[in-house]
Amino acid sequence: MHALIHLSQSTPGIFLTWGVFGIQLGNLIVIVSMFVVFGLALVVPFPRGAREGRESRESREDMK
Amino acid sequence: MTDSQLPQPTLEPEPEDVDHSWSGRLRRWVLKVLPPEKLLPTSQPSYVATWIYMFGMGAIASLVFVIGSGAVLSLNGPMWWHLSPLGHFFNSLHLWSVEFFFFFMVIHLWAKFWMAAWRGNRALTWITGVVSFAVSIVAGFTGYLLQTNFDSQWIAYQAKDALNASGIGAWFNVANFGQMFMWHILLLPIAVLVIVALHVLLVRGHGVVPPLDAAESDSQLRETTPTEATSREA
Repeated sequence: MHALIHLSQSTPGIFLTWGVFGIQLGNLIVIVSMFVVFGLALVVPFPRGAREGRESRESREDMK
Repeated sequence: MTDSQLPQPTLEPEPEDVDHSWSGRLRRWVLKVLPPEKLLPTSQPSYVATWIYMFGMGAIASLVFVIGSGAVLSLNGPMWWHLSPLGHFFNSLHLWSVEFFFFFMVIHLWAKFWMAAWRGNRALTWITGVVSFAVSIVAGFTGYLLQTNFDSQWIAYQAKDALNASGIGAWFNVANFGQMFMWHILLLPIAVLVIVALHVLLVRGHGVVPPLDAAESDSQLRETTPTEATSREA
Protein backbone atom coordinates (compact mmCIF):
# COMPACT_ATOMS: atom_id res chain seq x y z
CA MET A 1 0.00 0.00 0.00
CA HIS A 2 2.79 2.44 0.87
CA ALA A 3 4.44 1.56 -2.43
CA LEU A 4 1.18 2.47 -4.17
CA ILE A 5 1.01 5.76 -2.28
CA HIS A 6 4.59 6.50 -3.23
CA LEU A 7 3.85 5.64 -6.87
CA SER A 8 0.78 7.87 -6.94
CA GLN A 9 2.87 10.82 -5.75
CA SER A 10 5.87 10.35 -7.96
CA THR A 11 4.49 9.31 -11.36
CA PRO A 12 4.56 12.31 -13.71
CA GLY A 13 1.97 10.82 -16.10
CA ILE A 14 2.07 10.13 -19.82
CA PHE A 15 2.07 13.21 -22.02
CA LEU A 16 1.05 13.15 -25.67
CA THR A 17 2.30 15.91 -27.92
CA TRP A 18 1.47 16.93 -31.48
CA GLY A 19 3.60 19.91 -32.44
CA VAL A 20 2.75 22.76 -30.09
CA PHE A 21 -0.23 20.88 -28.63
CA GLY A 22 0.30 18.65 -25.62
CA ILE A 23 -2.03 16.90 -23.20
CA GLN A 24 -1.76 14.38 -20.41
CA LEU A 25 -3.22 10.98 -21.33
CA GLY A 26 -5.51 10.96 -18.28
CA ASN A 27 -7.01 14.33 -19.21
CA LEU A 28 -7.46 13.23 -22.83
CA ILE A 29 -9.29 10.06 -21.69
CA VAL A 30 -11.66 12.12 -19.50
CA ILE A 31 -12.43 14.61 -22.31
CA VAL A 32 -13.01 11.88 -24.90
CA SER A 33 -15.19 9.97 -22.39
CA MET A 34 -17.35 13.06 -21.88
CA PHE A 35 -17.99 13.32 -25.63
CA VAL A 36 -18.80 9.60 -25.81
CA VAL A 37 -21.20 9.74 -22.83
CA PHE A 38 -22.84 12.89 -24.26
CA GLY A 39 -23.41 11.12 -27.59
CA LEU A 40 -24.71 7.96 -25.93
CA ALA A 41 -27.12 9.98 -23.77
CA LEU A 42 -28.73 11.30 -26.96
CA VAL A 43 -29.28 7.92 -28.62
CA VAL A 44 -29.59 5.26 -25.88
CA PRO A 45 -33.28 4.66 -25.05
CA PHE A 46 -34.34 5.57 -21.53
CA PRO A 47 -35.76 2.68 -19.44
CA ARG A 48 -39.51 2.97 -18.99
CA GLY A 49 -40.56 3.53 -15.37
CA ALA A 50 -43.01 1.26 -13.50
CA ARG A 51 -45.69 3.94 -13.39
CA GLU A 52 -45.39 4.75 -17.08
CA GLY A 53 -45.54 1.05 -17.96
CA ARG A 54 -48.63 0.57 -15.79
CA GLU A 55 -50.35 3.60 -17.34
CA SER A 56 -49.61 2.44 -20.88
CA ARG A 57 -50.88 -1.08 -20.05
CA GLU A 58 -54.06 0.43 -18.60
CA SER A 59 -54.57 2.63 -21.64
CA ARG A 60 -54.13 -0.40 -23.93
CA GLU A 61 -56.70 -2.35 -21.88
CA ASP A 62 -59.12 0.60 -22.04
CA MET A 63 -58.85 0.60 -25.82
CA LYS A 64 -59.84 -3.09 -26.05
CA MET B 1 -81.93 27.41 3.63
CA THR B 2 -80.50 26.81 0.18
CA ASP B 3 -76.86 26.42 -0.66
CA SER B 4 -76.71 29.91 -2.10
CA GLN B 5 -77.86 31.40 1.22
CA LEU B 6 -75.13 29.67 3.22
CA PRO B 7 -72.05 31.76 4.01
CA GLN B 8 -69.47 30.80 1.43
CA PRO B 9 -65.87 30.25 2.57
CA THR B 10 -63.50 32.71 0.94
CA LEU B 11 -60.03 31.69 -0.17
CA GLU B 12 -58.79 35.27 -0.25
CA PRO B 13 -58.13 36.62 3.26
CA GLU B 14 -59.81 39.82 4.35
CA PRO B 15 -57.48 42.83 4.11
CA GLU B 16 -57.45 43.28 7.90
CA ASP B 17 -56.46 39.61 8.35
CA VAL B 18 -53.36 39.86 6.15
CA ASP B 19 -50.22 39.47 8.21
CA HIS B 20 -47.87 42.33 7.39
CA SER B 21 -44.93 41.01 9.42
CA TRP B 22 -41.77 40.18 7.47
CA SER B 23 -42.30 36.47 8.06
CA GLY B 24 -45.89 36.66 6.82
CA ARG B 25 -44.89 38.58 3.71
CA LEU B 26 -41.99 36.14 3.10
CA ARG B 27 -44.30 33.13 3.49
CA ARG B 28 -46.79 34.55 0.96
CA TRP B 29 -43.97 35.33 -1.48
CA VAL B 30 -42.43 31.85 -1.15
CA LEU B 31 -45.80 30.16 -1.61
CA LYS B 32 -46.47 32.35 -4.65
CA VAL B 33 -43.16 31.73 -6.48
CA LEU B 34 -42.60 28.17 -5.27
CA PRO B 35 -45.85 26.45 -4.32
CA PRO B 36 -45.53 22.88 -2.92
CA GLU B 37 -46.58 21.28 -6.22
CA LYS B 38 -43.63 23.01 -7.92
CA LEU B 39 -41.15 22.50 -5.06
CA LEU B 40 -41.79 18.76 -4.75
CA PRO B 41 -43.40 17.62 -7.99
CA THR B 42 -44.55 14.01 -8.28
CA SER B 43 -44.20 13.88 -12.07
CA GLN B 44 -42.21 15.51 -14.84
CA PRO B 45 -43.00 16.19 -18.51
CA SER B 46 -42.47 13.20 -20.79
CA TYR B 47 -39.47 14.81 -22.52
CA VAL B 48 -37.50 14.58 -19.25
CA ALA B 49 -37.41 10.77 -19.60
CA THR B 50 -34.16 10.78 -21.60
CA TRP B 51 -30.58 10.21 -20.45
CA ILE B 52 -29.52 13.73 -21.47
CA TYR B 53 -31.71 15.18 -18.68
CA MET B 54 -30.00 13.03 -16.01
CA PHE B 55 -26.61 14.76 -15.76
CA GLY B 56 -27.67 17.59 -13.46
CA MET B 57 -28.85 15.03 -10.92
CA GLY B 58 -25.62 13.08 -11.52
CA ALA B 59 -23.63 16.18 -10.59
CA ILE B 60 -25.69 16.66 -7.42
CA ALA B 61 -25.24 13.00 -6.44
CA SER B 62 -21.49 13.41 -6.93
CA LEU B 63 -21.56 16.59 -4.83
CA VAL B 64 -23.10 14.58 -1.96
CA PHE B 65 -20.11 12.22 -2.12
CA VAL B 66 -17.68 15.17 -2.37
CA ILE B 67 -19.10 16.76 0.78
CA GLY B 68 -19.36 13.44 2.66
CA SER B 69 -15.82 12.27 1.88
CA GLY B 70 -14.50 15.77 2.57
CA ALA B 71 -16.18 15.75 5.99
CA VAL B 72 -14.47 12.42 6.82
CA LEU B 73 -11.10 13.78 5.65
CA SER B 74 -11.55 16.86 7.80
CA LEU B 75 -11.84 14.65 10.91
CA ASN B 76 -8.21 13.59 10.60
CA GLY B 77 -6.61 16.44 8.69
CA PRO B 78 -4.89 16.86 5.33
CA MET B 79 -1.90 14.62 6.16
CA TRP B 80 -4.03 11.58 7.08
CA TRP B 81 -4.07 10.05 3.62
CA HIS B 82 -0.26 9.77 3.53
CA LEU B 83 -0.19 7.57 6.62
CA SER B 84 -3.35 5.45 6.62
CA PRO B 85 -4.90 3.10 4.03
CA LEU B 86 -8.34 4.24 5.23
CA GLY B 87 -7.25 7.85 4.81
CA HIS B 88 -5.98 7.03 1.32
CA PHE B 89 -9.33 5.43 0.49
CA PHE B 90 -11.29 8.52 1.57
CA ASN B 91 -8.83 10.79 -0.22
CA SER B 92 -9.34 8.76 -3.40
CA LEU B 93 -13.12 8.79 -2.86
CA HIS B 94 -12.94 12.60 -2.55
CA LEU B 95 -10.84 12.90 -5.72
CA TRP B 96 -13.01 10.58 -7.83
CA SER B 97 -16.28 12.09 -6.67
CA VAL B 98 -14.88 15.48 -7.72
CA GLU B 99 -13.91 13.96 -11.10
CA PHE B 100 -17.47 12.68 -11.55
CA PHE B 101 -18.92 16.00 -10.33
CA PHE B 102 -17.09 17.89 -13.07
CA PHE B 103 -17.68 15.11 -15.61
CA PHE B 104 -21.47 15.27 -15.12
CA MET B 105 -21.53 19.05 -14.77
CA VAL B 106 -19.72 19.60 -18.08
CA ILE B 107 -22.08 17.25 -19.96
CA HIS B 108 -25.02 18.99 -18.21
CA LEU B 109 -23.59 22.32 -19.43
CA TRP B 110 -23.26 21.04 -23.01
CA ALA B 111 -26.80 19.63 -22.98
CA LYS B 112 -28.32 22.84 -21.62
CA PHE B 113 -26.29 25.02 -24.00
CA TRP B 114 -27.49 23.13 -27.08
CA MET B 115 -31.12 23.24 -25.95
CA ALA B 116 -30.80 26.99 -25.09
CA ALA B 117 -31.93 26.37 -21.55
CA TRP B 118 -32.17 30.09 -20.77
CA ARG B 119 -35.42 30.30 -22.77
CA GLY B 120 -38.70 31.12 -21.03
CA ASN B 121 -37.50 33.44 -18.23
CA ARG B 122 -34.82 30.92 -17.20
CA ALA B 123 -31.84 33.30 -17.56
CA LEU B 124 -31.14 33.31 -13.81
CA THR B 125 -31.15 29.49 -13.78
CA TRP B 126 -28.51 29.51 -16.53
CA ILE B 127 -26.46 32.20 -14.74
CA THR B 128 -26.47 30.35 -11.39
CA GLY B 129 -25.33 27.22 -13.23
CA VAL B 130 -22.42 29.12 -14.79
CA VAL B 131 -21.50 30.69 -11.42
CA SER B 132 -21.61 27.31 -9.66
CA PHE B 133 -19.29 25.92 -12.35
CA ALA B 134 -16.83 28.80 -11.85
CA VAL B 135 -16.90 28.54 -8.03
CA SER B 136 -16.47 24.76 -8.27
CA ILE B 137 -13.30 25.26 -10.34
CA VAL B 138 -11.86 27.47 -7.58
CA ALA B 139 -12.88 24.86 -4.98
CA GLY B 140 -11.18 22.13 -7.03
CA PHE B 141 -8.08 24.28 -7.46
CA THR B 142 -7.73 24.91 -3.71
CA GLY B 143 -8.18 21.15 -3.18
CA TYR B 144 -5.17 20.44 -5.40
CA LEU B 145 -3.18 22.84 -3.19
CA LEU B 146 -3.95 20.71 -0.11
CA GLN B 147 -2.41 17.42 -1.25
CA THR B 148 0.62 18.16 0.96
CA ASN B 149 3.10 16.80 -1.60
CA PHE B 150 5.40 18.15 -4.30
CA ASP B 151 2.48 18.20 -6.74
CA SER B 152 0.58 20.74 -4.62
CA GLN B 153 3.77 22.77 -4.10
CA TRP B 154 4.34 22.86 -7.86
CA ILE B 155 0.75 23.92 -8.56
CA ALA B 156 0.89 26.65 -5.90
CA TYR B 157 4.13 28.15 -7.15
CA GLN B 158 2.97 28.08 -10.78
CA ALA B 159 -0.43 29.58 -9.90
CA LYS B 160 0.97 32.41 -7.78
CA ASP B 161 2.44 34.11 -10.85
CA ALA B 162 -0.90 34.22 -12.64
CA LEU B 163 -2.75 35.37 -9.51
CA ASN B 164 -0.11 38.00 -8.73
CA ALA B 165 -0.31 39.27 -12.31
CA SER B 166 -4.05 39.77 -11.90
CA GLY B 167 -3.56 41.56 -8.56
CA ILE B 168 -5.63 39.08 -6.57
CA GLY B 169 -2.52 37.38 -5.17
CA ALA B 170 -2.07 40.23 -2.67
CA TRP B 171 -4.71 38.67 -0.42
CA PHE B 172 -5.51 35.28 -2.06
CA ASN B 173 -2.11 33.75 -1.38
CA VAL B 174 -1.88 30.22 -2.81
CA ALA B 175 1.40 29.66 -0.96
CA ASN B 176 -0.40 30.19 2.36
CA PHE B 177 -1.56 26.68 3.24
CA GLY B 178 -3.75 27.77 6.16
CA GLN B 179 -5.61 30.34 4.08
CA MET B 180 -6.20 27.90 1.20
CA PHE B 181 -7.27 25.21 3.68
CA MET B 182 -9.97 27.46 5.16
CA TRP B 183 -11.18 28.52 1.72
CA HIS B 184 -11.39 24.88 0.66
CA ILE B 185 -13.18 23.43 3.67
CA LEU B 186 -15.41 26.37 4.69
CA LEU B 187 -15.98 29.28 2.32
CA LEU B 188 -16.03 27.52 -1.05
CA PRO B 189 -18.17 24.53 0.01
CA ILE B 190 -20.73 26.95 1.47
CA ALA B 191 -20.65 28.98 -1.75
CA VAL B 192 -21.06 25.89 -3.96
CA LEU B 193 -23.89 24.49 -1.84
CA VAL B 194 -25.78 27.81 -1.70
CA ILE B 195 -25.48 28.42 -5.46
CA VAL B 196 -26.42 24.83 -6.35
CA ALA B 197 -29.42 25.02 -3.96
CA LEU B 198 -30.52 28.28 -5.61
CA HIS B 199 -30.04 26.69 -9.04
CA VAL B 200 -32.22 23.71 -8.10
CA LEU B 201 -34.93 25.95 -6.61
CA LEU B 202 -34.97 28.00 -9.81
CA VAL B 203 -35.30 24.82 -11.88
CA ARG B 204 -38.21 23.76 -9.66
CA GLY B 205 -39.82 27.20 -9.84
CA HIS B 206 -39.60 27.60 -13.62
CA GLY B 207 -39.83 23.93 -14.54
CA VAL B 208 -37.41 21.86 -16.60
CA VAL B 209 -36.70 23.50 -19.95
CA PRO B 210 -38.20 21.57 -22.87
CA PRO B 211 -36.25 20.54 -25.98
CA LEU B 212 -36.29 23.08 -28.83
CA ASP B 213 -38.86 21.12 -30.82
CA ALA B 214 -41.22 20.84 -27.82
CA ALA B 215 -41.23 24.55 -26.93
CA GLU B 216 -45.01 24.82 -27.36
CA SER B 217 -45.48 22.40 -24.45
CA ASP B 218 -43.99 24.88 -21.97
CA SER B 219 -46.28 27.46 -20.37
CA GLN B 220 -43.44 29.93 -19.72
CA LEU B 221 -42.31 29.78 -23.34
CA ARG B 222 -45.88 30.37 -24.51
CA GLU B 223 -45.95 33.50 -22.33
CA THR B 224 -42.64 34.92 -23.56
CA THR B 225 -42.41 33.71 -27.16
CA PRO B 226 -44.93 34.73 -29.83
CA THR B 227 -46.51 31.59 -31.20
CA GLU B 228 -46.82 30.90 -34.90
CA ALA B 229 -50.48 31.83 -34.79
CA THR B 230 -49.99 35.20 -33.08
CA SER B 231 -47.06 36.11 -35.32
CA ARG B 232 -49.21 35.28 -38.36
CA GLU B 233 -51.95 37.54 -37.00
CA ALA B 234 -49.45 40.37 -36.51
